[in-house]
Amino acid sequence: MSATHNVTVTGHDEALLRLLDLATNDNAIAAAIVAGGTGYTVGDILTVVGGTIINSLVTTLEVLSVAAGVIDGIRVFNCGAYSAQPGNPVAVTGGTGGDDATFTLTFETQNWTINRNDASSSSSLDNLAVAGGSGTQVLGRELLLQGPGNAGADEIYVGFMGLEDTDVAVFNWQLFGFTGFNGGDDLVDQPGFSYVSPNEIAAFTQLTDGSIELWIHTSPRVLSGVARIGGTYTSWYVGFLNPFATPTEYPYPIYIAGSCSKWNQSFSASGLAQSGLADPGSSSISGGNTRGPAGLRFFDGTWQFVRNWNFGTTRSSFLDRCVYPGQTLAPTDAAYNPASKFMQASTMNWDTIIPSTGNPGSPQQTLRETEDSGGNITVLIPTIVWSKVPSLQILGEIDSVFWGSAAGNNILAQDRVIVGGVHYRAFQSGNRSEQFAFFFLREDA
Amino acid sequence: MAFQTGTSTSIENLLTQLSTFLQANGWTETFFNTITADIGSIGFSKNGIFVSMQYTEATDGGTMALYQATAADPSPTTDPWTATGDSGNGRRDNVPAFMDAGRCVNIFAGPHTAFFFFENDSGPAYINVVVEVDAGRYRHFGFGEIIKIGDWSGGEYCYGHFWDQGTSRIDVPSSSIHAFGMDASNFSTLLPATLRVSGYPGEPDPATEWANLAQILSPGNDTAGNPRWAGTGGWRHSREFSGFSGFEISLATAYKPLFPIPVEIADLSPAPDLQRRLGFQADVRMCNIANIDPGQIISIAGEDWYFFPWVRKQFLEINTEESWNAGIAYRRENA
Repeated sequence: MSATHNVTVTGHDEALLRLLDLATNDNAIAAAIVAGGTGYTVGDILTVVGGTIINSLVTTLEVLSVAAGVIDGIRVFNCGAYSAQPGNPVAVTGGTGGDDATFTLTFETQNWTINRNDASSSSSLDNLAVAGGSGTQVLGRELLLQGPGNAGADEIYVGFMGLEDTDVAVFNWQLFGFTGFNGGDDLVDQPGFSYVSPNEIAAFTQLTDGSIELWIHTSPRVLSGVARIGGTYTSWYVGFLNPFATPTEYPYPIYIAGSCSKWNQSFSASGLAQSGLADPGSSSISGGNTRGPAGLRFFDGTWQFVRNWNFGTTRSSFLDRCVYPGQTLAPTDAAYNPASKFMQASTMNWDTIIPSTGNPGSPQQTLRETEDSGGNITVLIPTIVWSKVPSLQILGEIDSVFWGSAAGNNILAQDRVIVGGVHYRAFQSGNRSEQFAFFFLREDA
Repeated sequence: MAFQTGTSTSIENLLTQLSTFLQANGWTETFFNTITADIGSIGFSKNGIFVSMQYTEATDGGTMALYQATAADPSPTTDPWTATGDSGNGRRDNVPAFMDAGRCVNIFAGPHTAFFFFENDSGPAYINVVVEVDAGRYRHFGFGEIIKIGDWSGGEYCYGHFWDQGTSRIDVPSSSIHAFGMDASNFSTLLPATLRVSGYPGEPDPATEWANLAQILSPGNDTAGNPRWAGTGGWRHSREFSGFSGFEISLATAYKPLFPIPVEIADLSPAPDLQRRLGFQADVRMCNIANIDPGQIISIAGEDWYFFPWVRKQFLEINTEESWNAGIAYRRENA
């Protein structure tokens, strides 16, 4: 099960600490009504009383429906983080009601464990030495975590590093994947390190030392989320894909993704210099690394970078390892066997909606919402990592991340859409406002 | 029972067996006129699905035209296209030689090597029919209800299988002259599948009853002269499939993806075009059938899926109706 929490922090280090709080403590994942209370209104946000709350990460609930002020529909809005859960039934405060509703909460611990949490890393990691570029790098917090997976039997090794470029006052995260942990070893010497040349996976999330609003999504398999700095939305994902394979066939489908591929990219960069989880792209401008912003550990144990495009002066498609639907192969691609080029005349591909060229490009079509009597429905498309090399294959879905068009319903960043009773939150890729440049993060467990 | 396979000696024999099968599964045979003067006809209904066929075995290798309406023909002896609310697709002149100029199944007089009926008793009603006309050469037709996005009324569809015989197209599965499945053809507005959209909330014209899944062609009018909506998506125009159609099999896991079949409608007047997704065809998937034999059954999560080529799994380009590695998979409902 997964959990989501929205919180505002100051600086990239506090952001990392709140992520840690949520990943290692108890989170509310479901709520059931015990007493509906009186005087409530749809949309009320109720704060749960009791328990031992970690760093003010309190559970809140959202009223989904009422009958004459009595709550008859509820969901967890913020999952919270607790070292001791509040006892059921829980009381709540806030909203328009009489503080007389009560609920039974279901908690779950995502059970990520801390392998290393150094406030100031002593690693020999040197981004300039690995990937080039310019600037003066200062390392911040080094946080190495281990996730248990859904059944508790996996060992998912991921890492975060705080970065500062003192030349230009940029504050970011760098994201890593590993296959193990050795306590005495430097970060760069950890087993299966993802940032080793020549296939270094350059995955960075642009942040700041100022105010950051976070949507943190945790599960036993994945730590992901979105950060808002002003009008820019940056993102991260570390953990497993949902692979199209059995655990025996693909036992370690770890995927890491940031929203840029340059270690000291500022959040204030515009346009295609930034990307989002549903349509990752690199920028080769001014020392940008083209081996990012995402990477996947393959069946053979090698790390392979994943991106849909590179940005120089325009979007230039990359077709080796990509994320669908933001990038797809043409049915005539040379990689196909002759007998499999049977769709050669197809005119219905996603690139008519999500342009594969241009800056940002001009779509030929717009996917609008499906009109419905109960409210127009936004069509959400699962995001899928596929590969052309070393062989054509579909590898897995990016957990809880969807592509969707902002058209029709005139969706703006942070808007929420409900599909089949499940809540999703819309985000821009960076500061891009094109209707095809949004992605959606599932909020409900 | 929602599945049957067997052999048939002719189109009429196939339809006779289909009628028995459908009636055993809650469908109504609305009329059946066996062949007289080279033409026979039959109709079926269930829920809001009203479909009829007119067929001949005497001309052009055997043809069956398909018609869809909003009500059963009140007078079974009259022409199928005169039924109330006829969608407009299917030839309308009672001339056997012209029957393949509208929505139809062509060149499948029989005797047939095999047939497969896939019917659904839970969820959306449908019947999908696969006919192995002769060894290795297939036809597909069907009618039913899509899995709708939203709760609008409508969603009934009907499709045939027209495979053009022109030498520049007979072995080219992507040719826009062919029309089959929930598909599109820009050859004739009378050929494609139709989808009932009269209850869709966003209808631009209140008189519109049908979408014509004709891709980019002007959708034309139904028989009563009401404007139709332009439909897209379908079997060959599925966005889900087009980007992955050449993916044969994972060399690492042997995983072979199956792709859902979306149905979309389009407003072609603005730029960029506006597309709206209305739903999916139930229990049918597009797939690449490299490494899979025609008719092969694969169990997926405890359910049997039957794999077939669009027409013939062959890539020799010798004018024998070839569809290369293009395939379709049907789910067999468990008894």
